[in-house]
Order: sequence, then C-alpha cells, then structure tokens
Amino acid sequence: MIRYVTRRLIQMVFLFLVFLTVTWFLLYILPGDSVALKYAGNPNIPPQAREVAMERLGLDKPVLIQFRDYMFNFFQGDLGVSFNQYPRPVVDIIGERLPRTLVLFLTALVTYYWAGFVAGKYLAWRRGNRGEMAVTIGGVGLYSMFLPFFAFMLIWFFSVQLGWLPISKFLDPEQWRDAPFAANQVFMRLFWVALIAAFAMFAANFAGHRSHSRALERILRVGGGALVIAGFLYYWFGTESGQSMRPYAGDIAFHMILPVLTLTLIAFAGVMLLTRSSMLETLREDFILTARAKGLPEGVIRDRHAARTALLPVVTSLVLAVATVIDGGVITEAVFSWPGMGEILISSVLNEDIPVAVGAFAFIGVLALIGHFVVDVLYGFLDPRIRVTEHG
Amino acid sequence: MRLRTKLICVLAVLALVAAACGEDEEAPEPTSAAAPETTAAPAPDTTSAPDEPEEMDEPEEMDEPEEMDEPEEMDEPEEMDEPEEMDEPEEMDEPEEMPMGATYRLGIFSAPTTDNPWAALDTEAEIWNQYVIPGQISLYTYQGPTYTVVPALASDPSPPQVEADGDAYSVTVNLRSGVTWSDGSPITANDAVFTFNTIKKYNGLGGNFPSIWPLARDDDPDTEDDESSQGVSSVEALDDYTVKITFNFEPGLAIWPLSVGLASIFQEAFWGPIVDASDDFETLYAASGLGAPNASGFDSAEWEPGAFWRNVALDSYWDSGSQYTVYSSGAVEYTTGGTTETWGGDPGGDVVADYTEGPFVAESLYSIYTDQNAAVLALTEGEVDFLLNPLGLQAGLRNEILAAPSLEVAVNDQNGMRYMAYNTRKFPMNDLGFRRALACMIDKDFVANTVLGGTAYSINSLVPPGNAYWYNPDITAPCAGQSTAERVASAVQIFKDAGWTWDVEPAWDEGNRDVIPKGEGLRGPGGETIPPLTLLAPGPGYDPMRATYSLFIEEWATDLGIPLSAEPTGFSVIVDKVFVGDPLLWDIYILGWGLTPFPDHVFDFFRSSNDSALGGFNTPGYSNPAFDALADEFDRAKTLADARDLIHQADAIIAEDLPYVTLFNTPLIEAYSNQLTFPYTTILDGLQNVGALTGVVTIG
Repeated sequence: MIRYVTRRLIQMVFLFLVFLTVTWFLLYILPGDSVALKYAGNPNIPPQAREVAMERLGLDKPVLIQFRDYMFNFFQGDLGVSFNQYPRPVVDIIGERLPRTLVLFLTALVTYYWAGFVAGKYLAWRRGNRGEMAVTIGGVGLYSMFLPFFAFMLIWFFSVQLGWLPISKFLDPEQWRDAPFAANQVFMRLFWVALIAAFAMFAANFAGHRSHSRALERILRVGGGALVIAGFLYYWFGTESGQSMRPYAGDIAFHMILPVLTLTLIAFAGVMLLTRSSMLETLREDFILTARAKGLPEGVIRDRHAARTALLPVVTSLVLAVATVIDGGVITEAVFSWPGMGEILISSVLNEDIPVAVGAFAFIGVLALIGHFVVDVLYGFLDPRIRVTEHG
Repeated sequence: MRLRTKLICVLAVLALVAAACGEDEEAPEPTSAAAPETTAAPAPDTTSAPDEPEEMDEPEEMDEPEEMDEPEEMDEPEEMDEPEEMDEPEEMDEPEEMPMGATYRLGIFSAPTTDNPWAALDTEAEIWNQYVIPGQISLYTYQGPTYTVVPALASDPSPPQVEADGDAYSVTVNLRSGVTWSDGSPITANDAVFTFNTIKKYNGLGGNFPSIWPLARDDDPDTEDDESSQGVSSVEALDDYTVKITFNFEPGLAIWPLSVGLASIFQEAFWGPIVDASDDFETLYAASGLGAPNASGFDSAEWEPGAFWRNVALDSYWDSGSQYTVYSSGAVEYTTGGTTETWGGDPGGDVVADYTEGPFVAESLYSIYTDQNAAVLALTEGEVDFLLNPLGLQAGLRNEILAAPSLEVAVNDQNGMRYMAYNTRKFPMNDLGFRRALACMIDKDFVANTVLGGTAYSINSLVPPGNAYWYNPDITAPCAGQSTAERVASAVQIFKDAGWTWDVEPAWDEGNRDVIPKGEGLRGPGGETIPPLTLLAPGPGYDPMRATYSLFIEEWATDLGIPLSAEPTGFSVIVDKVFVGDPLLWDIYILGWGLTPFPDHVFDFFRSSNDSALGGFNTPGYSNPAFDALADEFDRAKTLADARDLIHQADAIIAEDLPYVTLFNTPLIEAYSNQLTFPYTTILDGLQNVGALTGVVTIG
C-alpha cells in the first residue's frame, strides 16, 4: 500500500507539471495580451505607456523565458502578480475569492448530495409507486432547467413576490456598515465551524458503526449529534468571539439560502438517479436476500446493507465534485452577485491575466489530483472487493 | 433513525435561524475599524432602480460640452436628517453621529479592484474604480452638464496662456486659497510640485499618466527630436499659491490646459512619506488609499471587496454651499462667499443647471451587482437608488423601468461611435472608389431604424451629435437619402468612374425588389481581381447590433460582386489583429470607440505618424499629407474656435476619403429612484459620467 501511495504521489506531481505547462501555454497563445486589451482601445494612452506596461509585466521577454520564470517562481510559492491588478499578488486575489466560493459551493454540494442520496435511496426502495415517478420526473425536469432562468424565477418568487430572501449579493451592505470583521474572516469562521461540526458528526457516526451494540450505537450517534448541535449553539451564543461575529455570519447564511436552494433543486436529481440505480443493483444482490431471509427489519436492510453498498459510486462522485468546487459556478456567481473563483477564472481568461488564470487553474488542478487520489485510496477501504495488489 | 434525523435537522435549522436573526447584548471589540470620523448609519430612505451592465469594449474618454437641455430646477437643499440611532447589529462599532442626509445607494456592476487613486489612473484604470474613489483636484476641471473648462484649484477664470521662457515655454497659474483637502489642510502649489516630481521619480509612470502629465524627455538623445520627448520639464512653486509649469515645447490646447490643466494633484503630506520610502512605484500603488485626503465632498470610509464601497460626506467641504449657474452657451456663474465670477465666456442662452454644491447626503454606498437583471430587480424593489454603468441600461429594459412608478429614466447621447474601418494598406481597400462604393451601399438609417427598431441611430461625423460644440452637422453619409435601387446605381457608377469593371454588372430588379443579377467578376482599375475579403465584427453574443450591421454589409457587398464575408470574431481577437498584429493580416473590421469631450481623436486616429504599425491608433494606415498638416496645426491651436475649425475640416476630409465609415451610436439609458433630485439629467454620456452627481443630489 505504501508503495502504491508513493507511486501515485509521483504520478500526481508529474501530471501536475504537465497540467501547469499546458495551461500556461494555452493561455499564452490566446490572441492578444493583457496590455493590448487594456490599453489598445484608449487613444489617450500613448504607445510608450504600453511599452512600459509590457516591460513591467515581463511580457517583453521571450516566451520560454517567461515560462521558465513563472515555473521557477511558482515552485517557490510565488504565483506572481496580477497583470490587471498590478502589483497585487495572485495569492492575495485567490485568497480574497476562495472563502466565498468554498462556503457557498461546499454548502450547496453537501446539501444536494444529501438530498439526492436520501431521495435516491427511498425511490429505489419504493420502486414503482407514483411518488417515485413524480419525484423522478420532477427531479429530471429541474435538472434540465436553464440555470439563470430558474435562478431568476426563484429570485422573483422568494425575493420580489414574497420578500423573504435577499435578491442577491453575499451580505447586506447597510448591516455591515463599520463591521469589525472583514467578510472573509466571517466566511473562514463559518467554514471552520462547519468543518469541525462535520468531523465531529462523522466521528460519532463512525464510532457508532464500529460498536457492536445497537444501543451503544444509537447513544453515540444521537449523543454525538446532540453534542455537535450544542457545541454549535454554544459557540455562536456562548462565546465572545461567536457572539460578536454571529450577526454577520447570520447575514451571510441568510444570503446563502437562495443560491443553495437553487443549486440543490437543480443538481440533486443527478445524485438521486445515481443512488437509485446503484441501490437497485444492490437490492438484487444475494446478501440482501440473505438479510431478508434472516428476518432483519426493512429499515436495517435498506440503511445498513443496501444503502451503504450503494453509497460507493456516490462517494466517488462527491469526492471528485469537491475537488472541482473551487471553480465555483460562473453563472451562479453572476446571477447572485457572489464574486468568487468562477468570476475570477472567467475574467482572468478573458483579460489574459495569465498569472491569475494559471494560479486559479493550479488550485483546481491540485484539488482534482488530490480528489482522485483520495478516491483511489478510499475505495480500497470502502469496498472489500477492491484491493491494491503487487504485480511481478 | 428517522426521528433522530428529523430532530437533528430541526435543531440545525433552528440554530441557523437563531444565528441569522439573533442580536447580541454586548458590543464586540472591534478588530478592525475602517470607520472614518463620520460613521453612523441613518436608515436609508430612498428607493431605486437598477439596470444591467453591458460589456464595455473600449474605454471612454471625456468630452467637451455644449448645449444641453432645459435645466431642472434644483430643490432647495434639504434640511439634514437628524442622525438616527443605529438599530441594526449592536456588535457594530459605536455609532457616531451622521452629519446630514440619507444614504445614497448606488449599484455598480463590477467590483472595484483598488482603493489607491494612483493605481486607479494607471494599472487599474477601470471605470468602476473611478466611480468609487473620491476625486483628487486639478487646476481646471470640466463643469457639467456643458463640460466647460472651469477653474478648480486655479484662481484664473480662464487657463493662462503659455509663454516663451528662454528655450522653453511656461505657464504660471495662480491658485485659490481656501481650497482644502478632506483632512482640512490647504491645497498648495507644493502639492502640484510633489505630484509632478513623483511621476518624474517613477519615470513617468504608465497608464493614463503619460497623457495627463506628459514628461519631457529631452535628456534622451534617442528621442530628443521625437514627439514622445515633448512634455512637462518642471513644476515649481513660486509661492504657496502660485505654480509655474514649464514645457520643453510649445503646447497646444490638447496639452495645456486639456491634459496638464486637468491632471490630478495628490497631497504631499499623505503620499510623500510613501514615495520617499521607496524607489519603486509598486510600493506606492500597493499602499491603501482608503481615507487618503482628497478634494471632493466625500472621504472613502470602507471597502468590503466584492461587496460594497462606502464614502462618507465631509462635514466641512471647501466648496459646500457654492452656487453654480450653467448656461447653454457653456458659461458658468459661480458664487461663493458673496462674490460671483463668470467662467467660460459670457452667459447666454438657457440656464441648463442652477444648483448649490452639497453634499446633501450622508454617504454614498456602492453595492456590487454582477448581473444586470438582478440589479434591475434591486432598483425596482428599492434596494438601490441609481445604477452606475458606462453603457447604461439595455434598451429592452426601458419599458420595464418606465412601468415602475418609483423610477425615472434619463436618456442621453453617448459620446462614442461604432464604425467600420478599411485597411487602406491593401488592395482593394486602398482604392478610394472601392471604399466609396461600398460605403454608398450601406444604408445606415435602414439598419438603425427598421432592423434595430430605433435602438440605435446612425451617425456620419467622427464627433457624435451630442458633443455639440465640436460636432460637424455638414457631414453626410455617401449616397444619403437614396433608395436601395438608387444606391446600387450610384455604387455602380462610383466603381465605373474609378475604372472598375465587371463580367456581370449588378443591377436593381424592381420587379423582384432585389439586385438581379448580382455583380460578378469585379476587377480593379488595373484588371486585378479582388481576393476573398473578411469583415471582422463582434459576434451577436457580444454585440448584436454590430453583428447585424456586419451581416447587412456582407449582403450589400455581395450584391456588388465584392467577395466579402462577415466573420463574427471575439473582441480580443479583433483588437489583437488590428492594433497589435501584422497590419496586413486583416481587411475590414467593425469596432467602437468611447470618446472624450475634447475630440482630438479625430486626428489621433488618422495621422500617418500614428499608424498602428508604429504602435498608434491609425488602424486603417491612412496617410494623407494634407490631413497630417492639419493635424500639426491642431497641435499648435491655442483657442477652442481654432481647434473646432480644424476638427471640422479634418472630419470632412475623412468623410471624403473614408478610412472609417461611421455607422451608429446608441442612446445611454439610465434609471433612478424618483426620490432623487438632480440639478440636471441631460448631459453627454449620462449621469454616470459625472459619478451620478453624489455631491449635489438630494433625496426625498
């Protein structure tokens, strides 16, 4: 296993180098350059100013020298400075956008995977009834909706007609007037709190799963869940740091409802259908028949035997989706005025801001590689049928 | 299991709701207080209506004004609202008293990228930064709505003349006393000196700086005789309120006063230590400008990247309470401290604006909407009062806005043009007959009025009609007013007169209402056949109007037997090909320009020394010694009247020679809450061009 992991890590490094090189050159060969796009259309800016700009950005050097310099700096942790926001470091720009995207899209991802998995599980279990048909058709209908149109329908309904939710943006500027925190501080706090809660929940469930007593399992799970909730409430209401940040965190959470709802309604059907088909296959397996023959309760067969096995492709899909979450959604971010990584990706490519674009793609590449790696390793643990074997 | 899941869900939702809605008893320790002296938060009491942004493909420049419409009476300055207690989150900093008025809420369509006013003129010269960063001061400034050049820091009513000064030329400008930075300190000649010396220290900086503060480079032997070496040699403070600017050449209007006279001046006390501390300009640009002294009525108070920007009104703005009366002649009467001055000539014509300088709002709050539809919803729902967009609202949204009872609409001319350019370096575009014949076939009015339903209007001059002082109304389009049949006949005749021939000559078939037969085997005067030509134009996804024009032009060209195909092309690709790439690799293209009030572009775009092959803006490669002579004369022009005469002559030459065929312009539509009162709404390039008049708007 260690040799396998080592080999995979070496492959990942090599693959990343290839990815970075291809990305850099693809962006470089796009017609035009950042300086031309910015200055060519402004007759007030003399040619000399453009030359100065080219020199500043290093664009006057031969392409291979530019590439060499970029790679050299990249692996020293210097992603360069933005061409369009010179001299702002790329890391600074990504650091500004990443928390917003992570919090929104991870929340949406978890929500629609959870909704899709639960719905898929029940659809497969109660196959053939009217509910299955209605949910399937409804889910697929939503899945095929044009995202901007659907998002605007929801905005119109919930924000304009009912007035329950904000129209867009990730915070209410008037509430944040003179806020003692930057929005990114709050985003990061939300992220860590959610992450800690998720790990605690996972640990409680895992411990329960490992226990051999049904009663103990229940205690661990329910107790763990209750502790997490209590901890969550205590943090936001009982600690000074939580209290001071709570209104701002609440405001961001409030602004997240509509985009998360939109993404969930649009995307849950994909997970639902994946789970459903996986579950249907599992239900035909002999061990399910054996479980039934043993007289196990239906809920146990469904949740502990069938659903767990059916979870494998869903987990794969989830891990890979997590890996690409930082590219955000250009459309979602635009419609909900949530400028994050998606917006910076598209604008940097359009404006030929190569350092920012490559930097953003590098983040996605690294996460995707890690995601694939995690899936590979996880599969070995989750599915006893898959084991790494040594050849030769 | 199910019960447990439900319980957890309910608790989680309750916790979230509580977190979202809960309020704290205790005020938290502020960890970072960007709050300026005048914080506080009055409840906003305005409504508003936004619109959607379109892509801007070319930067806009400012331009010079003339007649405007009936002025709107400005309401008496309102009584300032009582500062209201802030009832929102108590975790906020201790609210301070709001000096006056309400919150002016504006929507913008892209996030500002810097708070540094230096960078905003150079590496980050984006319109969105310019909207939010409070203005610096200059010696002179454009006065809306007529764009008359009037004193700002200078005390001389008109810019003084440049005079010979030994081997050089200089101008001495007297400054007003009593003009102060937002921190209350006086603005003196030393600030102008500091600004120039800083630019000089950093080798002229980049972006807009070389055009607003052109640096004399007479120490460079390679460029000594070159135009690029011409600029400002020095700026000296003769005393606190007298500044002397020396040039190494005799500047015309375009440089003095319309570049240097309008150039930003920065405060030495704030920026000086930063400049002294570093030899590289990156350090200067990286410094935060939030709260930096400026000369407007607002201080930048808060910037939440990606979300909002907030400027707070100053308690003691130096120009607050001054009275401005602007006449359609361009003259301005300025009354302050009981004395009245008249600028820009004798008052004449209608009063187009009559107002008192504010600010009358407590703060300007700029929220970012990255989607136009969402922004319009926010405007109609009263979430913002005004949408700032250099391109205004999409025409399709106009009716929707008009239907909203809480909104008003202002429609203004844009200072810009969309045009078609021929590459005159290549056959057949180098043939005047070819250019005229194709231009003759282009029925601009038909496309604008019939096909595009009046959402655009055709233009003939290089200066749009909205820039009335400079506009030449005598310029007409080739074959203007002719029917299609007449255009075909005229184009055929133009070709024949120029020596062109066909195998099959095109003719108008009245019965079929079409050109039958279409031209075939068109040959130039020397018998040359025309190679396949490409018309590069933005695609319908980027600009459906220009895409539509390109399709019609392709069809009209085909009627004549010209093998022209319209090719929808990305904006950046066109820019790369025509401004940067090999000048022989394109044939014809369609793009657009945003322009400045002073229309020196008429010369910049066509003088031979400005050929794009040399890095200039003459993309057609047009070369005409008579035109170049006019351009040189324009460079030396000292009066507006002389400059206008030269502009008109140049415009007429280009209309004859047709390196460009001007096509159309679009009106700029803006919507705003009917709770807002502006001293004027008719202005070239719309209210967005004057920052939505934050300094004089009243609310309620």
